[in-house]
Amino acid sequence: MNVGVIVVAGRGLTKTYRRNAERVHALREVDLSLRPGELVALVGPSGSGKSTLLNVLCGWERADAGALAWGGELAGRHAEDLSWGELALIPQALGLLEDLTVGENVSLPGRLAGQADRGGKAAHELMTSVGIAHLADRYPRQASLGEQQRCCVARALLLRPKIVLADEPTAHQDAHWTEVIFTAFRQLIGTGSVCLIATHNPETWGYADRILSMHDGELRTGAPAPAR
Amino acid sequence: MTLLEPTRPATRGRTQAGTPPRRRGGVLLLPPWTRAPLLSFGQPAVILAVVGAAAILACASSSAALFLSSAASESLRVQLAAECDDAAYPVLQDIGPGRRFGGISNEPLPVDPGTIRASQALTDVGLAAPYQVVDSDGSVPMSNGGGNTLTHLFYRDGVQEQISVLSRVPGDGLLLPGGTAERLNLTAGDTVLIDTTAVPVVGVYDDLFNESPVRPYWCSYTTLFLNEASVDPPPPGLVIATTTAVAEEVSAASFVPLLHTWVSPIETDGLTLTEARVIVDQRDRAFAASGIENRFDRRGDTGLLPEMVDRTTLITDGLRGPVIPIALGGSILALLLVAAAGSYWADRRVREVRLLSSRGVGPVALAGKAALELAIPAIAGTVLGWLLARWLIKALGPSPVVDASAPAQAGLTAALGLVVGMVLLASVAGLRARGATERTIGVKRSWASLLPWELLLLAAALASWLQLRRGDGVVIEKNVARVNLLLVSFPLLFLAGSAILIVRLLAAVLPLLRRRAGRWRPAPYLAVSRVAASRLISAGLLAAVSMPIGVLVYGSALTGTTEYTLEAKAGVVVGSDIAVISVDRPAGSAALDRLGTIVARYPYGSTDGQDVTVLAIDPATFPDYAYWDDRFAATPLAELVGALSADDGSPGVNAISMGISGENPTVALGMRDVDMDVVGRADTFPGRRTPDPMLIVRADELGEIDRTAGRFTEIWSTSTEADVREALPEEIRVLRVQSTDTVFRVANFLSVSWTFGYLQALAAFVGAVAIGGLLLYLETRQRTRVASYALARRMGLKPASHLRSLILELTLLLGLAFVVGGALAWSAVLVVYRMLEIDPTRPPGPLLTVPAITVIAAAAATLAVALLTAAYAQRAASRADMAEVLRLGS
Repeated sequence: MNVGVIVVAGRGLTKTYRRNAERVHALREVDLSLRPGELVALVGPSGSGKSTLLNVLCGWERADAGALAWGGELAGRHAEDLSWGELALIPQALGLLEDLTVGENVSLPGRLAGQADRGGKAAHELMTSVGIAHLADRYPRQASLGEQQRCCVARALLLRPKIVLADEPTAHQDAHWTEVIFTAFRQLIGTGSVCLIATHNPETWGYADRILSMHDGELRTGAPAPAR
Repeated sequence: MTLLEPTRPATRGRTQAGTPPRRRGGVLLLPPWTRAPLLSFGQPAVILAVVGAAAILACASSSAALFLSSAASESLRVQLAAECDDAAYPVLQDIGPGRRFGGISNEPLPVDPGTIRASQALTDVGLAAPYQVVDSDGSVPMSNGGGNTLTHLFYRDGVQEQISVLSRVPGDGLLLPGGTAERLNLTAGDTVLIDTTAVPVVGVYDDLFNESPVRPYWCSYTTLFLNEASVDPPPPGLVIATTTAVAEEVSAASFVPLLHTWVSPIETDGLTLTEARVIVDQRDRAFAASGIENRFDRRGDTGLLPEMVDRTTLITDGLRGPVIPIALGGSILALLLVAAAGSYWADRRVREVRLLSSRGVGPVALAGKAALELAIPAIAGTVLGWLLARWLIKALGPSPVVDASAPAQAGLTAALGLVVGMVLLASVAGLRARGATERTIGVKRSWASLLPWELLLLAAALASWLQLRRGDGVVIEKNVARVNLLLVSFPLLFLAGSAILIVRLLAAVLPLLRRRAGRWRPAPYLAVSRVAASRLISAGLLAAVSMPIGVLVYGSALTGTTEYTLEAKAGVVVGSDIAVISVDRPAGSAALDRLGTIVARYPYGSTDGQDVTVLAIDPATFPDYAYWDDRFAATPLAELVGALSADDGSPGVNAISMGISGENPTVALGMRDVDMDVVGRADTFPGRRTPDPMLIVRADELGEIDRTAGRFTEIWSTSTEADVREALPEEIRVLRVQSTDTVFRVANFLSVSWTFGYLQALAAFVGAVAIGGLLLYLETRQRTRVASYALARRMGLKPASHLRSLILELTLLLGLAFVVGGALAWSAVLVVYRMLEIDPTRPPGPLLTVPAITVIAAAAATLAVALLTAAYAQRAASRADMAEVLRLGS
């Protein structure tokens, strides 16, 4: 599959689960392309397959059928081999290290990547931009859920990754912090990165360059039709 | 700040508009409660935690009754093993003059009415039909018309099959031992005169002292034919009557009364204390029913069982004091694990609990739900724990035999523990469930949590120690040693208080360590961060692990010290493993030199009016065979004994002094006054059997001492008695043999070892609790660890680094716990071991023994637990389904 300037392309991605006797179609022959410099909103109701698609893209799940290819600098690579500087994640469950402070969580990717300088100044700037700099010495459990989520966003953006996969990154934010977070995403894509944001909040769709909607495992371009 | 998620409705507990009306029976008949007992089956991890916690609690609470019963059985067994098989058989005994039947007849004679009554009385109470022993209560003079000799008359059922008959004629009468027959010049078929009555001699048998080994039949009667007290004069000849009637006739003729003894055989294998008490009671009832007048106050008239029962009761009473509090302490610790299991339930059921809580269900109802859900696993765990306790006592306890009532008693205690445990488990689950719904963050620690409450424990430990100093660590009552309860409570309070205080101080240092770790590599950085971030959990774990290690080291050090000191005391009394003692003077020979060393003992010396024992030794062989511990003297034995051969130009005899403060004493030995030059001193020296001071000299330098000095020659050997006897010239008569095994009545000291043994069992048990707690802690945090690990791996954390961080974290915690527990325990041991004097009359005093094997085993176990739990956590993190873990609410 020739992906050209596309960062990642998926063709015919299919994924089914078995939940007791029931067969659940999480992805039904999904075709997807993400290009540098775009912010894509992946929308759809709960259980429509958004998280599954993100998991397949980041390599935590394998599609039963279909093909996934990375382009540009990432050509020929596998998702699970990509570093945090290439592919960063904002999972629903946040996954903050409870034993590290908020500041240490944000700077951890830099530390593990051997970029100690990123653990300092850049982390502080990011925390300031998402309004958690004053929480740097607190543990995640000592911060609110919204603050924890912004910590998670700052951690994802620290190494300026080529691609960010975010699962409901503003689920616990008010309108102000939602705007702050999407502003941060837009700043990132300004450097040629791509963000795929799974969200079911229609208020956030306006920040996206493109909207992909999912329903019962099927991916369509554009926002879903409003419910009658 | 308080987060309410979701917000509790204002109309708490009320039916909201639109909800269907509840059925009759109210809220309790709703599915969350009616289905509750089955719900836990969907949570195998919770079942495992509850079953494990309940089993440990049941094991702790039920072990005391089983242990005490097992200890009683072992105490009985040890006492029985030290005596002849029939020593404990219940006995009725009567004394009276013999009856005359008008001469010895071969016709059957009427049975003694006393025998009929005694047999009837014994069998009526359920004891076995007795056998009869008849012997004279004093010496019976016999003559051949010219010379005469003293004899002891004896009859026991079946006696004629238990002797080697040399000559025999038909009929009833007396069987003379060879020595007596020779002395009276009589043979089978002759008659012997008892006063004026002629009694037929129907046989001659080989003297029993010629038989080696002695037949078991004669075990209880050896004093009748073996003279163990001296070589001369021998005991009176043991003349055997062929029937009781013959014995009666002889008794009547000699006017020497007869002792009639009826002995009911019992099964002593696996005898329990309760069974023994029943037998003693049966014997007493039989005695009361027999009509025998109670004229005796002697040991043999009841058999030894009552004495054994009394001693066993004393031993178990001594054990009960420390064992019950130890079991109680263990149960309290186990309850902590039960509480942790309740908390674990709340964690695993958090979604349902939140839902119910948000619908107005309070903590009491949630506690009830937890109790309903966890009742079946808790009951199963209790049964398992009770079975485990039975198995542990059977496999590792003092004896596998326990009273029939002990398991039921243990079961009752376990059931009580279950009730308390369920209340606690449900309470913790309810409160924790409520806490999961209403989580308070950013609250300052209360002043109460900042106070060093552990100082109260240390104050109690100090009070225990001061009290202990006023009394004895080991109390001797009727020769039975028992451990002072304070010797158990002091270390537990000291260990708990000190461990918590040290852990509090370490926890205060953790932030500093954490700041330094910021510059370290990922593995140590993550490890230190984890330890420092969960200070309360880390501190709790540290204290929880240091306690069992401390108790284990303390218990094993004091057990080892007691046992080694007892061994040393016995070694000092005997001088070596065995001492073969003779009043003859065997010359040294190559054969003897290969087996032991010859020591001449002069027990009746004196200096300045003080009695003194002099040992004359052979310095060349003495150090090879004498019992020695380097703490007996400032210099090693070889050097000390070597000083005896130093030529100092003085005319005095070189001597090692033990207990004599004077410089160079002159010792009166027999008719000689011997000037001694003290060339060395020892606090304790092998061969000390009396409290008198001792002087040790070279036998060849001491020279000849006359017989009035009362010399005994002893061969001190590490070989067997048989080997030494074989190496001795035939003409040398052995007076007696002393061995380290027979110095002490072992049963008297069993309770000391058992008390500390039980303490060690508690330590192992607390270790299991700590490991259980560690696993629950890891399991509870597993989900967040896995999520963190998944993302950290994406960020570049290598699996090996993660594993190293886990190993470092757990090794740091457990290793520190090991050092803290071990160091504190050793401090406690150093404080109390001198109080562990189990026999002040015999040196040496308590000899501190390092429990090296226990320490190494505990260190290995600690390391193994750290590595295994780290591997478990790593494996769980690696095998987790990342996609599932990172989904919200999955």
